[in-house]
Amino acid sequence: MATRGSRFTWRFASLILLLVLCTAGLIVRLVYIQILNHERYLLEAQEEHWDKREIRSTRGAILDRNGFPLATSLEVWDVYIDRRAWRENYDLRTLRTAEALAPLVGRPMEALLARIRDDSEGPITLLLDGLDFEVGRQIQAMGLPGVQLALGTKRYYPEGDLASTLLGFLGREHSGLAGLEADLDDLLKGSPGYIYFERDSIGQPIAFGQTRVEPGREGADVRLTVDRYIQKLVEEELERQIKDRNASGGTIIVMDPMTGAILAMASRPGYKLSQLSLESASLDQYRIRAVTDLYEPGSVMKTITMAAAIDLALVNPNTTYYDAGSVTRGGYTFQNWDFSANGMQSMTQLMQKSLNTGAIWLSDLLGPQRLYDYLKRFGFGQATHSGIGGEATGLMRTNVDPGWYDSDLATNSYGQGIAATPLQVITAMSAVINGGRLLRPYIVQEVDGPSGRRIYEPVTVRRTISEEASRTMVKMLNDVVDGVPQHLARVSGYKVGGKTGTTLVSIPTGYAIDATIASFVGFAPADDPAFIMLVKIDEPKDDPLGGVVAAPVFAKLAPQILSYLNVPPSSPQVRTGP
Amino acid sequence: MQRLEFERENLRARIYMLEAEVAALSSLDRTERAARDRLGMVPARNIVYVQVAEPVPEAPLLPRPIVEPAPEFVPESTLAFWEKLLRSVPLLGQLTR
Repeated sequence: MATRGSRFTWRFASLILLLVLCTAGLIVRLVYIQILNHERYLLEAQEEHWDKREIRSTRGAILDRNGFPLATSLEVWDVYIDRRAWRENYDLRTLRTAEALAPLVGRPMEALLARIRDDSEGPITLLLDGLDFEVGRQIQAMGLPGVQLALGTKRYYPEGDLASTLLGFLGREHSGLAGLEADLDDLLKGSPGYIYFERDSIGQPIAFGQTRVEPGREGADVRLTVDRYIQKLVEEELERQIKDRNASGGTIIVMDPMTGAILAMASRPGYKLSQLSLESASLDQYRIRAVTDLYEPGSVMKTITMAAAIDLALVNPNTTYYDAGSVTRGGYTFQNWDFSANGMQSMTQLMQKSLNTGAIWLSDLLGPQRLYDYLKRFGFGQATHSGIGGEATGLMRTNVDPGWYDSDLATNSYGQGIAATPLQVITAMSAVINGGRLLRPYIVQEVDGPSGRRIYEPVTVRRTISEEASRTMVKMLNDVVDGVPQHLARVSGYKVGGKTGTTLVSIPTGYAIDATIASFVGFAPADDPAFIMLVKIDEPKDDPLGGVVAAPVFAKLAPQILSYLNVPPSSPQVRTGP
Repeated sequence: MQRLEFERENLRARIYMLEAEVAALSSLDRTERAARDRLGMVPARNIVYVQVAEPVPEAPLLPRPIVEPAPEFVPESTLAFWEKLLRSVPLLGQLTR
């Protein structure tokens, strides 16, 4: 029989055990919630009690080299209709809303009414975007039920369609989609900030509640090397030439040969920012052709071949060779562009008459190894790394590449069988005349943003030829233009140098016999170049030759650019005509 | 806070609008139109170069660009000793900047 004094029965023990287990379970649960998942529940609590509002950052401006805005931003409103606010008296409210909005947004009331009543887009509809800021404030002040406004920005172009293709455009999310707006998007767009605030159960900020600000980063302003006035001159002349000559397109680049700064860059076909239609299926028009499109430079390349031979002291300007009018290499016969045979010719005459046989003679002197070595030194077959998106590297098949033939050495020496971008060609020519330095072309001069100001300096990539060889080439190129009385690139009062180029348009089966690319690369003043210009007109219908089509464009633009840059003529004289 | 935000949005929009207005007023097209329509100017037909014994003028005056120039940096070494001393004291230093 159990004694009356023993109270520790199995029931009691079970109860104690149960209490201990419950307590342990509570402790484990508390540890799990309060310690192990502290951060998670804290976050959930904050999400319940805190809300945030975005502080938009403004997209930076794109300026020309003198600080004039080419693209800037304006604050605008997007107007939304929320039909859920009109559960009662739907028709009456839509009518009143359309009646109130129509005069402010400049649209007919009937059109607005139709749009508001069209609920196929869901309860919330974007009625209008890009509304003027002041007008939006008026609508806000009216307090129309069901009408919501969201602050946004719109890109504004003070110079109109100037440099459209170069600048590019933005998408609906205000990110760059093409051109420099896309290439420099990270710099321009900045990052949004946030205001965190305590909110009540319906999402409204609590008066005198806690707030916290996380500042954003405003977009940086980007100053280009492009000069708006030179860009305008170049674009107008390019369009005029394409229209007058019924050409398919063209490119003009103006650059400072001493620094690599791009002063102007225009290509056609392109597009206009004022007539932008993203519904077009063709994306071709959105590329910057000066850096994406390849062409065979033609006789302009003779400058590089000659520079290589001069640099190696294989020839000098007075060295002669015999021009028989044709040369056979690798089983092919090559003739001069005008089918002429000129007899004994100096190197200067070779350049003045642009003799293919002379270029081939030089390539024989150089040999394939040295010629291609110099072509690579001048940047052919490699990107210039200008920072402009979509840049092509060009095509060049050397003697060590499969599919190369002896005849390629001949054709490459006068610029056929090699493909380069207009930017590569003008960069190479700059290296010939600036003392022999291959510079990296650049289009961004300065970035000024919240994190400071960054200025971009010219970059010398490598030496191509000696300074002495460069001086010799400048003299020869000056003789090419000023030494030929009828040359159409001559500029009265200034010493000019340059080289023409005429190439057949390459097609998959070879070359089109009735289509050419007419080009000219020139610089002025010859003894201290203020600028170098490449003019390339694609498939001119009236005349195929670079000397007839492209050289006069240089002669027309050069005096205007020199005058604008305050470069005095070397010999003052009266010149009549435009 | 909402009132201040409202005010800030207004002022910001006004600043951008004014900057755009300045840019539009100094645009090439407007300048050309004003030269042609208001002043009766035409593109030059005869370009005459005359050599004079005067130095080349400085670059023409342009409207103030939108981007403000960076503040001039004053190297520490050009400061007087008492200026350096004052600048080293946090509050007093701000008075001398």
